[in-house]
Amino acid sequence: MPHQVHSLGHVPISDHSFSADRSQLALARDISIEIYDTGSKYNLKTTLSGHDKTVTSVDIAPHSGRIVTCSQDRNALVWEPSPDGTYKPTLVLLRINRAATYARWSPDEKKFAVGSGARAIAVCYFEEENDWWVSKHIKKPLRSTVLSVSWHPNSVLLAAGSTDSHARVFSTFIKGVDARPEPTIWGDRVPFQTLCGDFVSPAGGWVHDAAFSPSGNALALVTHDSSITIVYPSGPEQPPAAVVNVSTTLLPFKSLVWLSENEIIAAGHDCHPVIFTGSDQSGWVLDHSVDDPNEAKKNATSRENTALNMFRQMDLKGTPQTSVDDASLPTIHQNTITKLRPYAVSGGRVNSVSSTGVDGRVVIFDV
Amino acid sequence: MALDFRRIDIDALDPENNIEPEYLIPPSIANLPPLSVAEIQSIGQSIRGSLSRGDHFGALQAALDQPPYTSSEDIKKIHLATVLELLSTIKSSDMSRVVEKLSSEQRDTLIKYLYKGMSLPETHGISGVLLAWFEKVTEIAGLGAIVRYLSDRRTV
Repeated sequence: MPHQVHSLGHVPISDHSFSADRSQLALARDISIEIYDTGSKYNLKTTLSGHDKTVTSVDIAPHSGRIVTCSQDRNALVWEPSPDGTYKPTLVLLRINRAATYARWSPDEKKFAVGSGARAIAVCYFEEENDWWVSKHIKKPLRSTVLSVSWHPNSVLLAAGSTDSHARVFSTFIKGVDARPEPTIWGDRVPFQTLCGDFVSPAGGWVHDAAFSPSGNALALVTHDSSITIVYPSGPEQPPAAVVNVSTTLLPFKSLVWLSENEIIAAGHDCHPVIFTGSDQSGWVLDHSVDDPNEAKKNATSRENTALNMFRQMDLKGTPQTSVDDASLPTIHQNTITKLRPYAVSGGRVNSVSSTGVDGRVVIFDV
Repeated sequence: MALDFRRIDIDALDPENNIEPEYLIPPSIANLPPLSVAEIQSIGQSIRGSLSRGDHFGALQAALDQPPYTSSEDIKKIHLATVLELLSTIKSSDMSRVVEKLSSEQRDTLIKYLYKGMSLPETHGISGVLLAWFEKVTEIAGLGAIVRYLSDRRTV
């Protein structure tokens, strides 16, 4: 299963998003968003400039094709695609006084949530009378920057990971925009800003990413203590049925994707993804690494092990090692992976994920 | 008389920014009662007892289970002295075997004690021992244990 690798420059990529048919890729890079045509080679189609500071997040809505971007300049822009391939930006007044860190469309694409450093999440919806996007804030229990937001399949519940070490589940029900949701295991009556769950990892640390399982009945969070925690709630206002924590010997993860109800892929500072498997009954374990650096080291071809080569290497590099290429990492990504997104789904399971990171590469891993 | 308004730290005056000290205590140890000097010394006695009976592993397990996270600094220092004495007594040939048998949480606690031991000037005589232990633990627990030491607010 060869993984697709695209090296698109050296500038770090903050976030990426593929269009629904995977024919276009939007990359958030520095202060602009680059739109690429995909194919065997990725070609730059257009660059969207509208932000004054680093763009921190980009998300393409699968059905409508609208792009939401947010940036450290405290703004979010919604880009409408026009038939001739250009995009028209609309400013969204988030009313925050710090950087926006993460933006995601809800599954029904009527709202989007923006996490920010202003200790608030701005949930934005389109108001027809005024013909513009309005934001409502979730502030109450948040004590620090929101690093990630993730929607439940019912488009009302939102999971937010924050630097105050808590992952929280909020209700973002907005009268007039959302239909009354079916009761879920997280709660029945859910007015706006209701806190449906608040979770921490045992050894603390920033919550880099939190995501609901495909059914919405479990929540996974990756924290800076190099561990992943999976929460199975039992009912509203009750302690969870199970909280499973898997500590790893690796560096912390920055992003996670549920492949199915029983598999999670996570990636971060170790520059390669790792897969966890398990369930609420049997617990979770680290299953295997994708793009394993140990495998790569074993398979690395070594140059002739002659004495001449050994002394040549000692003169050149200072160590007699000839078989390890110390100039680059053994993994495909050469720097931290910051975002993972599902790429292809088949048979109810995500079969490949796309990843981007600080090294400016886009890699599609088959899992 | 004009107020130097440009130098006012407006964020410090914002009432929303005040965090109560109780908020910073991790929820998992919020209800752990602080230990008294007598209690921590009796724990130390039982550990030394196991050690004299030759049960090195049992002594280390007892020392690393339930560290006095919520006790005062003096109590923590007493327990630290017990742990360091224990670590110096266990032979270097036994180190790997003992570390392998510890649970993941006990290894994380051991790393915390090693770092605390290395930070005190009084212990620089046994620094070789501490470094040897550190090497053995990181061989098994990897970088994750070190990152957990850095992010964990439960300090020994």
